[in-house]
Amino acid sequence: MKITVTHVSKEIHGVKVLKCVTMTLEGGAVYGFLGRNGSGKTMMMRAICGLISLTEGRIEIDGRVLGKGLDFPGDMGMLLETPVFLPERTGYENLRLLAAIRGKITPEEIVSALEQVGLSAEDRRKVRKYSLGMRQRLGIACAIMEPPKLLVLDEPFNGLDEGGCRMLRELICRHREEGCLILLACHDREELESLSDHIYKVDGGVFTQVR
Amino acid sequence: MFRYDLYYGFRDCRLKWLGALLVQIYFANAAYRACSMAGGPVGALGYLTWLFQGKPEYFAAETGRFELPVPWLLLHACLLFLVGFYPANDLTRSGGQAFVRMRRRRDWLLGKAVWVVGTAAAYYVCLTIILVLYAFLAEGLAGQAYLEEWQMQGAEWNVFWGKYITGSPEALKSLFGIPIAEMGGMAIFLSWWAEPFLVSVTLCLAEMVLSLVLEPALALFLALGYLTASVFWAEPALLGNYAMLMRQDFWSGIEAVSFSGCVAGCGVFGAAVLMIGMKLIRKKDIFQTEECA
Repeated sequence: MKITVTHVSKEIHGVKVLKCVTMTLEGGAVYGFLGRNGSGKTMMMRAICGLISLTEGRIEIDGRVLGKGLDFPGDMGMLLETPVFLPERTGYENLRLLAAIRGKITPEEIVSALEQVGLSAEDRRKVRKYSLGMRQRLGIACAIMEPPKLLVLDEPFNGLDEGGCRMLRELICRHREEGCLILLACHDREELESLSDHIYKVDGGVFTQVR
Repeated sequence: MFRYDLYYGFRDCRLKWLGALLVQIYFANAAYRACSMAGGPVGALGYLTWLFQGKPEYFAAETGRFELPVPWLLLHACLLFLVGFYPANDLTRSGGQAFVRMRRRRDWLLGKAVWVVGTAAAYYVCLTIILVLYAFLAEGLAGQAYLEEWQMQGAEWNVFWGKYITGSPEALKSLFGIPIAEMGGMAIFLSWWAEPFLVSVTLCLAEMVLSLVLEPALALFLALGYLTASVFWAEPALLGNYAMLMRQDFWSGIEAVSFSGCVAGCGVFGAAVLMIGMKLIRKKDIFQTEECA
């Protein structure tokens, strides 16, 4: 997968949250976005996911312009902000409902995704009883269950214990080796630097490549 | 997407459904009490007539005080409340997890439109079942002696069908002035069920599209305002007229308020609403927020 971002700007209520961003992203690499809260990392991720329209510029996914004939990148998994699920259903049931929309994967693949993040499909606990870390793991499972070519992870380490962080690092490395294009936003500079092949520093909507 | 909407939509609306059913039962009882002076059983059709009759055309000089047909308005309001919040909530609740799984943005909108139509259909089916059950319980079990006397007078109608579903044509004529015996089954179905249903679906779709750009509560308020305007003005362009039995051609003589007019009006309005909705959803920014209701 190749994503080309050309002179992308986004204005909301008169405030420019993305300013003339240009970058080229290719599969098989991890791109880290480093910046403080409100700098524009999540907004850029939303733009690439097709969730927001652009004020200027364009985003191309494998040569096709997002917003013109292509509404969303295909084969994408995303974890943006706080994952929200049905509280009265189990984790597995929540993922089954979402997976049924595309109908691309089998129940066994959902089970496998849950196991990769350290959860169990047999767990009968409802999501309302999940800890923050478990919800985060479920969100990651949701992002990877339909084998993605693009993985968008916004602050994925939030709420994870040491074992969970280790799991996520291995998962990111594995997906990168499989050719997945990974966008990663993280407050922990060391974590980001250890995982990312390329790093963009984000400040006031401006993206500057530092690695 | 259908199964997703079926589950998520019901889960979002389960308390509202409970409220809607209670409202329907309340009005079934109100209809029974209002129709009990008919001099004969009126059945579910009679109750539905009382609920959906609406008001005659309002003329300030002749009619005096403007009155709203409360049962009619509240039943439609209930349905609008039932469908008004889920589409907007779904868009923002999970940050778009379901949204990005669609091939196109418009597919999400069309999926929600299907859900709206299904919910409206279920609402009308529930209303019909409640009215039939009420007729059975109220007029059947409670009014057994009264019905035996009526039968002794030689009225000729199918016992069950006449008692609980269509009622006595003589009773309906004496209560409402409608020559129902002269109307065929299809005409009754179109006027009593099909037209109100089409109007409800069209208004619900309009409300759904409005909730993409406005707060759902405001969209609901605007839809109710449009319905109220239909009571005030007997204009075929105001779709609420087709949902009021008193405004229809067989009752009021207003030829334009007919089933064909209803299909044309709802068809044009509904198509326009969906086209506008598709344009709006193409450009809408999706952010994760708190649920609206």
